[in-house]
Amino acid sequence: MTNKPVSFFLLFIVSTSAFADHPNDEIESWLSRMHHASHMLNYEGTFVYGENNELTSMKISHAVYPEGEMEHLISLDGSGREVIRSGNTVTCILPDKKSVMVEKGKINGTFPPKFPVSVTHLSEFYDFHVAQDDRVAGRKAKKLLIKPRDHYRYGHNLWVDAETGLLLKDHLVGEKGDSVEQFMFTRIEYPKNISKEHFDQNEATKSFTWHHARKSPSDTDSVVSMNWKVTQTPPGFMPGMKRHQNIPMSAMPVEHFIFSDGMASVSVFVEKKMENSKNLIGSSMMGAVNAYGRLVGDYYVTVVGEVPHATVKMIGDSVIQVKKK
Amino acid sequence: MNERDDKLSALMDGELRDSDAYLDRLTRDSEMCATWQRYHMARDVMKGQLSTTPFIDISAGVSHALQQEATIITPLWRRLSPRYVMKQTAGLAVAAAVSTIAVLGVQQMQLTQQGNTAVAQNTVQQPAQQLAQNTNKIRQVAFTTRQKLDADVESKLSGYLVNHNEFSNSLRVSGVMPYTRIVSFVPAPASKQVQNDK
Repeated sequence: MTNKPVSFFLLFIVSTSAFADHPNDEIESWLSRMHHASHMLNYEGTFVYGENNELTSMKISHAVYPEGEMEHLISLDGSGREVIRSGNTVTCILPDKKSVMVEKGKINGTFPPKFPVSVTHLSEFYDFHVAQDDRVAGRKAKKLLIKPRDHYRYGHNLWVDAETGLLLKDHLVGEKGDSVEQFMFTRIEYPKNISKEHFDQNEATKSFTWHHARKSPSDTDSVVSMNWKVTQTPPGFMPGMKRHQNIPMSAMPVEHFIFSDGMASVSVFVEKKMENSKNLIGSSMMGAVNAYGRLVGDYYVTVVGEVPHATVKMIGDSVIQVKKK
Repeated sequence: MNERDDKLSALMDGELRDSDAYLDRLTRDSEMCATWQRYHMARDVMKGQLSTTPFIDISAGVSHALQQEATIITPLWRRLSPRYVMKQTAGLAVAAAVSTIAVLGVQQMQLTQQGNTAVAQNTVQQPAQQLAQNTNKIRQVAFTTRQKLDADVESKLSGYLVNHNEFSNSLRVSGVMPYTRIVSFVPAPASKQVQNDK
């Protein structure tokens, strides 16, 4: 008789932990670990990346030195495109175009970057579930399912290294449950030390055309005055930073707006049309990133983001000029 | 033959002057659409060109399906660039849907600075039976064009994407992973590089 309340209580605990509808705390702790692991760990690995029925294999090295993070991504197929990220400098090496692009990222970024997500806020737009344990690249992995509640964002199936928290496998899921983009490590190691030579550029790049970003007139200035305005976004996409900036391929500074629902981000760029300048008119895609461009008077409006076409189009079509230069 | 029938047969022969407005009417009027299909069938029979496959009214089926389910054709579009585009055609008759496809094909073409309106014209002037065939053709156009994004446009997009990655602060956009897209992007044919950053 005395056992009854106890066993009932135990049953209650088991059932609530096993069938909890919103395991938000557990999800938030995994997402936070994942975020920190990608910035704070030394790792080296090979992964496959797939989109639009194409597979590419890539090698990645990431190391943390006293002076900051270094990352090197190199395609093992085709012409061997590379991206090297050293501190806030991003160098894209495009051998097929014999060109190199050098960009400066955020200057005063904190390290490690702040974890941007509040799962409570996100659960208004996404459903979260922890699935059964799995294995990826020989490592035990936690599988997290994130489903959007509308068609303005993608879903994610994430496999996170149960020991280190590193994201090992990711499926971006479209509206009909199809895979929009995926990547998966096939080999992953966590070396104690990675020599800096891993992040050196190839000699051949010396003969390439180099495009350098100039210093931008203002960086991360939240009170910067903008000549353009975005008048419509899907629910949950909040305005973030806006700024004027220089971009290597653009003659004039462009206006840059960022919107985010906490999970996915969308950028809007407005750039003056110059003689001989070409820009995207219509739609294009790079993996899960949709791009949409239109010409408004003498200005190109381009929207890019890791979101479905409907989202970039809605935002792009709502851009208006508020102030003539 | 009444005026409507006259116009239909003029349209079939490609002799109607204001054909765009008329096509627009055609796509909205199911009775007119049926007449249009009968004419085509009759002509094919007269010319001995009727295909051996039984006549299936794709337009009515698709029209109905579109009314029932806005995104019914999405799987086809998944293979094309602008995803979810079919949502915009929800509820429209199939000819309108086809012309939307054609316009998108053309938009894609403009990316490579070689717009081709022939596709659009062909498409609306074909009878409904050939829809599937045409759709295949357009899919090919859009697909090949996607790989031929102008080199300058692609460089510009890459520049935007780097800035997007660096300055957005969301969960997945961290580390070098977003750059997989630039690294894996199907390269466009080599073209003259213009250095604009002087």
